[in-house]
Order: sequence, then C-alpha cells, then structure tokens
Amino acid sequence: MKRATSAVERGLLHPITLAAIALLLVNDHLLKERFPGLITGKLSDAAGLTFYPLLVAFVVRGRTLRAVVVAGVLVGAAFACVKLSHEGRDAYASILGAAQWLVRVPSWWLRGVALPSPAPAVVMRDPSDLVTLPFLGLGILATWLAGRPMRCERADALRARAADAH
Amino acid sequence: MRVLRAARRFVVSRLATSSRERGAVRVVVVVAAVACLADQPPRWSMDTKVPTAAVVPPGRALRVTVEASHEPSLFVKSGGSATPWEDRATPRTSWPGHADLFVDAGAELGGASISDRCVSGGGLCSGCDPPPGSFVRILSTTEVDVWSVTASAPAPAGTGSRVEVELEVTRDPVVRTVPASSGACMQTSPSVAPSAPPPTASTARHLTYACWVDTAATVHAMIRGACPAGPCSAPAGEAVAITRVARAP
Repeated sequence: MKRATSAVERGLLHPITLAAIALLLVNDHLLKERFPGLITGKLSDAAGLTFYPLLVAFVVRGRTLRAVVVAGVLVGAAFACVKLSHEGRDAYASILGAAQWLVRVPSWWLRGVALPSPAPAVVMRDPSDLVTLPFLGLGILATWLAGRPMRCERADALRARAADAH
Repeated sequence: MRVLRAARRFVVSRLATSSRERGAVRVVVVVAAVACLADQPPRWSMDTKVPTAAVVPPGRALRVTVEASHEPSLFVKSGGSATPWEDRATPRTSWPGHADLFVDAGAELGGASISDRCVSGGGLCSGCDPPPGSFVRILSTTEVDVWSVTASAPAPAGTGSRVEVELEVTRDPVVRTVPASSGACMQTSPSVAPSAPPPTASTARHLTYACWVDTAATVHAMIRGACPAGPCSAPAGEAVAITRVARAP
C-alpha cells in the first residue's frame, strides 16, 4: 500500500486529529450554545491545541515529527501569550477578525452588500485556559502513532533481510 | 490504543493510493483551517453611529436613549474601561424595545449596534443579513450627574494567582483590581437574592467574581446610578460590601 509521504500528512489523517477537528466544529457551533459552561469553554481550546501544531507544520511545509514538536512549542507559546496578556489577546483578536473578514469579502461583494469594516474577533483572555496546554501533546502523539506502523514494517523488512542473509 | 489503531487502519484502507491520501490531507487541512476561522457561530450585525461624539467629562455620565429591535450594545471609541450600564437595581430579563444606557466618564461614545446569531443562510463565507424588521436608533444623548458607592479590600498577591471575591450589592457592580495591569475580574456566579443578612437593603444580592492578580493589588467594587437632577448622593439603601477575598484553590 502506498502512503502519504510525510509524518505530518499521516498525522493529519490520524483519527485523533480528525476527532479533534470534528470536536472543535461541533463544540463551537452546537455544544457551547446548548451547554455553556466550564467544560465546553475548555473543550474548544483542547481540540484546537491538538491539531494546531500539525496544521502549522503542514503550512510551513514541515514533514517530520520534529517539525510537529517545534510547531507545538510555538503554538503553546502563542496560546499562553494570548491567554495571559491583553496585548497578545488583542493582537490575536485583530488577526483572527481580519482573516474572517477577508474570507467573507467575496460573498459580500457577490451579493452587493456594502463592505463592513473589519472588526476584531471575540477572544477571551483567561489564564485558566492554560490547563488545556497538555493537549498539544496529543497532536504530537497522533503524529508518532501514525508513523509507528511504518517503522514496524521497516523493522520487519530488516528482520526478513537478516533472515535471508542467514 | 487498539481501537485507535483499528480506526486509523480503516481510514488508511479507504485511501488506497497515495494521491487519494494526499487529496484527503488537503481536505483535512481545509476543514481544519475553516474550523480555526469559524470558531464563532456566524452572526449578523447592524449599527448606528452618533453624529457628534464627545468625551464624557469627569464626574458625569452620558445617558444614551436607544430604541432597537434586539438588545443593543454601545461601543466606545476610547476609554476602554467604559462598559455601558443601566440605572436599575435588578438585571433586566428581556429587552423592552427601548432603554436608557449609560457610558462612564472618560469614554467617547461611537454608536450602538445589535447583533444575533444567523438562523439561516449563515456561514463562514456567506455571513447573513439581519432579519426583516431589525433596527437600532439612538434617540438622544444627555450628560447627567452620577452617584457612586465604592468598597475596597486588599487581594492576596501571587504571580498569576486567581482570587475569588464575594460581594453583597444592591445593583450590578463594576469590579476591578488596582493596579489594573493585574487583570480583569469576571463574574463567576449568578445572583442569589435575597442574601441573608442583607447589608442595607432587602434587594441585596450575593455575587462572586474571579480576578487575576500578579502583584499586591486592591480589589475595588463600585455601584452607581444616575442623579435625577444635578449632583446627588447615593439613595438610601444602596450599598456594596466586599465580604470575602481569598485566593482560589
């Protein structure tokens, strides 16, 4: 069976990653509205932190588990900055708001709607959200698990080659 | 772990070729990016601006009479600490169609806006239009005198520590720490009325706030209201008391 070529790509297809992306969408658009509270408040951060490192590693064309680990460290630092400092929160809210505005521009233009000015997204500065930081490890774990069968196959091949040599 | 491995084998077995696998990766990346950007449900919004904005002078407040189809929020151009408030003892449960909202001294009112979640037609890329009949109007803005009552208590210091503040108040307070750089305070428990024993009025409520402090700080809680005409002092029965400040476990 042919495989995707990089550890990052395999990690993105791992069920842990897919479940995290699905959980983020379901939680933000359904659960938070129906069951507002501490759990649903933290769930999105946990889900996001699980796959953000893989997404960042993919975007910067990283290919290895090490790239995911480095991306995880950077994502963790940025997340801490957003959750701990007003400046970090404001900067992230502006960037996210601008990105959301850019994505919506074609639709407004096509519908002939007057373009509203970009507004910062709503981002809460809550240091208690840092309890979700360990979920960064889950994305790294997914990448490692996704690469594991390949390593086993490689070991099997080496073992078979050794047996042939004997 | 076995379940995860089986699930992964199932996913990979469906992606028999490398090109399909790569295509799937692209789909996952797009969905993940959309999930990141669309982390808030799509909303529509409508706003109105004040024709001539002026900074509210010290010791006074700006009474803004707003009429709107949905509960409005005021936005201020400057004076970030100025969260609009209402001159009432008990929180409102529904939007009556029009109300007097107040903006504190130092703020420059920008306008009023209404917003709600898209019911249909909304999406990250499409957004949605306000439902028919939506409107928001600022009917008048008037500078008024305000009365206020403040209570203070020292907060236990600690780097990044969370402090729980319990209050007895007769109306919704503003809770903050000084120095302000220590962090914002958020209400963590809803009101439980009436409290026993109430500080001064039978309508006193017990509220809990959480503040984050980095250095030695003081917690301030303030309630305020509008004077009917000219400067005035707090009406009898209006009170705020900090009953407990403790580091959260």
